[in-house]
Amino acid sequence: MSGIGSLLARKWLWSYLGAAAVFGIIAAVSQNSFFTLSASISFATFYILVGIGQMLVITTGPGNIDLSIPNTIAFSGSLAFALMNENNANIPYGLLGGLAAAAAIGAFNYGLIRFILMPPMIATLASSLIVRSLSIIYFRGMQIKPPAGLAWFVNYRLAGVVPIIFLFVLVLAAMMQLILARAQYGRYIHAIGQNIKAAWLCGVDVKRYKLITYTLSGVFAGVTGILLAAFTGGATMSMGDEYMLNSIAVVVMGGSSIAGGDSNVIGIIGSSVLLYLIVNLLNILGMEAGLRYIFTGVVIIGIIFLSGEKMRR
Amino acid sequence: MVRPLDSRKEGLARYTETLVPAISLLVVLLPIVYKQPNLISPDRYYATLTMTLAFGIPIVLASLGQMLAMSIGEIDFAMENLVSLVTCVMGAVMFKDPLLGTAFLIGILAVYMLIGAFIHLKKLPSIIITIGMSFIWTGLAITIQPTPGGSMPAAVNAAMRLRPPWIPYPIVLAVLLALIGHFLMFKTNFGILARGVGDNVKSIQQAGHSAIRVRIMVFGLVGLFGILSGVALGGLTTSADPLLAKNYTLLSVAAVVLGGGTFAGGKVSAVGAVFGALAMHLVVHLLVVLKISTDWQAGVKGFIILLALYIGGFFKRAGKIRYI
Repeated sequence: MSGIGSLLARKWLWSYLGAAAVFGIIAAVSQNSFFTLSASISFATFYILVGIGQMLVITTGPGNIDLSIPNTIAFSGSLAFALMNENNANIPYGLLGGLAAAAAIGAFNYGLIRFILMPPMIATLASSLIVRSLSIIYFRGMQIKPPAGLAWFVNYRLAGVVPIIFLFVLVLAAMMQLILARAQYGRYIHAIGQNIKAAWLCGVDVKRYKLITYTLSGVFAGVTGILLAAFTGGATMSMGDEYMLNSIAVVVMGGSSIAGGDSNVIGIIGSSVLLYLIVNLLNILGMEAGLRYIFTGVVIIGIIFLSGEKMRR
Repeated sequence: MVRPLDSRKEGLARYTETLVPAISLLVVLLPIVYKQPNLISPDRYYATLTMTLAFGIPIVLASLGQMLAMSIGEIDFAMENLVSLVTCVMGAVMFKDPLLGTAFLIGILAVYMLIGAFIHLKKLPSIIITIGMSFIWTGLAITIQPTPGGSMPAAVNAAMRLRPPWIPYPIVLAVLLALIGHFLMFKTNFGILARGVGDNVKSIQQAGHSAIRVRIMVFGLVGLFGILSGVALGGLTTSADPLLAKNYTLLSVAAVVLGGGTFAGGKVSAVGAVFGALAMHLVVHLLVVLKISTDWQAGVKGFIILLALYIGGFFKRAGKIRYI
C-alpha cells in the first residue's frame, strides 16, 4: 500500500480524525471552542497516563487488565499529599512515597495473579477493594490539599494555552514509544502478548516481565493520582473512579489490540483527547450523566465491532 | 486438553466440589449462630433465618447466572450493573407501566443473546464486551432512576415475602434453585453442550452441534438469571437504586469458584455455586454481626473474596500448565 491508503490503514489515525471532527462540532456549537480544547487537553493528560499503564498490561496478552487503577490513583495521590503536608520542601518525599505505594500495589496485583492463579481482572478488582479500605482508614476520605508549588506546576500553561503537564506527558509517551519499539522490555512484552508459550519456550522470563508490567501500570496510576489531585485542588477517595473503564476505552480506541501483542502509544494520545472532547461536547449539549455513560459504552462496543479484530482464544 | 465431558472422580474426591463450599458455609455460619443464638432457637429460628438469609437469594441467582457464563469459559463483568438496572426497571417503569417494563426486560434478554452471538462471531472474550455493557446498563439505570427510590410492583413484594410452613422461605428457594441449576447443567442436552463448549469447543462442533447456538442460549440464561436476581433484590428492598447490587460481580465469581467452577470453563457445579453464594452472603453478614467498622468492611470483603478464590482454586491446581 502507498500514499493515502497506507495512512488510512494506520489504526491510530482514526482517533485523530475523530478528535478533529468532534472539535469541529464543538467550534460550531460554542463560542470559546479553543478554551474547551485547551481544557480538554489538560484532562486528556490524565487519560494518556493511565492509558499507557493499562496498555502495557493489555499488551501482555488476552485477559490481562488492571482494574485497580482508580483506587491506586486515590491511594497514591492521598498518601503523597499527606506526606507533603502542604509544604513545598516535602514534595520529593511525597512523590517518592506516593509512587512507591503505587508500585507496591501493582506488584501485589501480579503476586495475586501469579500465586493464587486467578484471572487478572478478578485479582485486580479484589485487591482494589483492599486498597480502597486502606484509603478510608488512613485518609478518612477527606480532601487533602496539595502544596502550593505542585499546584502551580500542574496548572501552568505555556503562553497561557498549552498546559505544561501535557508537554510533560508527551515526553513520557515518546519515551514509552521508544521503549516499546526498541528496548528489550518492549520487544518481550509484545512477544508474550502474541504467543506466551512461544515466548516462554524462547527463554523469555515471562513472570519477570509481567511483574514489571503490572508494577509499571501501578506507577503510571500513581503519577496520575498525584498530578490529578494537584490539578483538581486536593486528593479525594473517588477522584479515580472514572478512570477504570475510561483507561480501557482509550487503549481500545487508540488502536492497540485488546487481545494483546500490539501496542500503540500515539493512538492513546489521540483517543484521550477525543474521549475528553466527547465528554465536553456532551456537557455543552446538556446531556445527563446517564446518557454520557451509555454513549461511552456504545463507543467502546462500536469500536470493537468496527475494528474487525479477531482474537485467539 | 481432552478429557471426558463428565470426568467423575472416585470416592470422596467426587464430592469435593460440593463439600468445600458446604464446609465454608458452615465455617461462616458457626460464629453467626454464636452471636445470634435465635437462629437455632425452636420458636424464633423461622423469623431469624428468614431475615438473615433473605438477601442471599439475589446473590444465589446472580451466581447461577455467572456459573452459566463461566461454564463456557466466559465472565459477565456487567452482572452488578445489570442487577441494579433491573431494580430500577422494576421500581421506575414496571410499577407505572407493566407493558413497557416487560418490554424493557425482554429487550435486556435480547441484548444478552446478542452478546452471546457477538463473542462467538468476533472470537472476543466476554470481558471487554461486558465492560462496555456495564457502562450502558449503569447509564440506563441512572437515566430511569437517578436516585434511590421508586416503588416495586405489589406482586414482586409479595412473591419475596411468602411464608411456607416450617422451613424458612429463603432455604426453600435456595434448595429449589440448586435443583433447577443442577438439572439444567447435568440432566439436559443444553447443559452437556454448554459444558462441552467450555471444555473443548472443537469436539462439540465436530459432533455436529452449533457452538453459536449454545453461546446464545447460555448468555440468554445469564441475562435471565441476572433479571431474576434484580427482581428478587428489588422485591426485598422495595426500592430501586442504580448502585444497589454493588460488588455482585465479584461476589458471584467468588461463589462459583468456591463452588467448584473454574475460569477456564467446562467444569461447574450448580449446587456448589448455591452453597458458595450463601457463604459469600453470610460472610458479608458476619462482618455486620461482628460489628466490624465500616472503614474496614470493603478491605475485609476483598480479602475474603481472595481467600474464597484461593480455597476454591486449591483443589484443582494439580497438573495445570500455566505460563503466567
